[in-house]
Amino acid sequence: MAKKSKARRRVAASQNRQSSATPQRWRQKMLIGMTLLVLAIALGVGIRYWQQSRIPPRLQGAIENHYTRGVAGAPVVVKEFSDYT
Amino acid sequence: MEQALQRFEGQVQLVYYPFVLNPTSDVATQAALCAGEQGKFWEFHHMLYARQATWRLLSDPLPRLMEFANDLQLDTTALTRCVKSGRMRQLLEADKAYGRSLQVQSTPTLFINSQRVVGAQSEADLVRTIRRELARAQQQTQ
Amino acid sequence: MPSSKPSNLPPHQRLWRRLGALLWLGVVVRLLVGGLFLTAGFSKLLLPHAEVVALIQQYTVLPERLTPWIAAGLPWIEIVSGTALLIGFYTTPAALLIAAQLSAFSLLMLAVLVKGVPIEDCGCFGHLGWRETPLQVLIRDVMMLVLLIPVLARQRDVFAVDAWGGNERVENRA
Repeated sequence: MAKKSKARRRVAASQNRQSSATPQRWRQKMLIGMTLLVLAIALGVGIRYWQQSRIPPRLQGAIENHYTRGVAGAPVVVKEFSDYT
Repeated sequence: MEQALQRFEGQVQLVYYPFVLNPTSDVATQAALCAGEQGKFWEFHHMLYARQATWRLLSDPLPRLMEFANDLQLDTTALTRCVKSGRMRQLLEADKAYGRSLQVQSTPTLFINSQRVVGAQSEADLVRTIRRELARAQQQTQ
Repeated sequence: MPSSKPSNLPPHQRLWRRLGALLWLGVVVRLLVGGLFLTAGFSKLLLPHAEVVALIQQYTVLPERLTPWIAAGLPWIEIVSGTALLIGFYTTPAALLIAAQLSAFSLLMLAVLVKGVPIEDCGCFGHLGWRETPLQVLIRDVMMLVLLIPVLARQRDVFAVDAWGGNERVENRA
């Protein structure tokens, strides 16, 4: 009788260890995975922001010595890059 | 673009930057710029588009372009000399570099203020974008 | 609980298990396909949005109203699914999402080829200098679909983040 209850206690203890270990491993997995995913997304956001921020300053000016139509100093300037073919 | 310019007369300025993609258009663009030295850039520009089918597949379009120049009563000798001298190439290269710095990859690419528009657009879409930019510009001045 | 012996399983499950046993193949495919999708996503983010819209519009078989939305969302879907597959995080859903994308791209290329739409460069990798015709893309995507099978069969490998989760059988044996 004593042996059986000892064995039962051992199994119960082992099951308790598993039930507390598995959520911990799962949390670690989620932490690592989500961190890497968020890093990739953040890198993407950074690239997009960097790419967009470069353009507006370069659009200023560069009008002289080019053929234009319409009024100089107009509120809307259309810069057209074209190829005739 | 022409209709849009007429619709928003006095509120829109168009600036043209050649963005050459192949040797044939390189010659055509130089011819247009050389025609500009004789005061007829826009006329030549419009003719190149209107008669595009007759010259764009030619490996040497210069003789055909001189016919256009004749129709516009340009000095074809001076024009030929100008194109063959390659004087305009520096301008073309500078404009292409400028376009590349703005990440222009294909033509036509328009920047309506800072709004980028790529590819052929309908007049309605162009008008809508110009209107939006006009409203934005007006808000900024208020 | 005894695990089922391979000889007890029906033939299709035996094949599936055999495919999943190719650990090295699954890892290589995970890294290759995941890396490709990650690169494709980032390459599109390097382009202005209007350029990506123009790249998609050249296919002409997609509704024009949808193209700005596809251009906006596709890079992010590629990045998320590519990263997840590359690191082996929720490997099966990531692989399924990538398989769905590959199937959609393959159908698109097939439609373009059938309709005879002239496309010199698919734009799959933005303007990184890697130009592919629709036929090349179709072949590549079908090959990648086939290569994903061991990944889907294996579901996880020891080099994947998923392996950190463990499973009950492993826990019990320990």
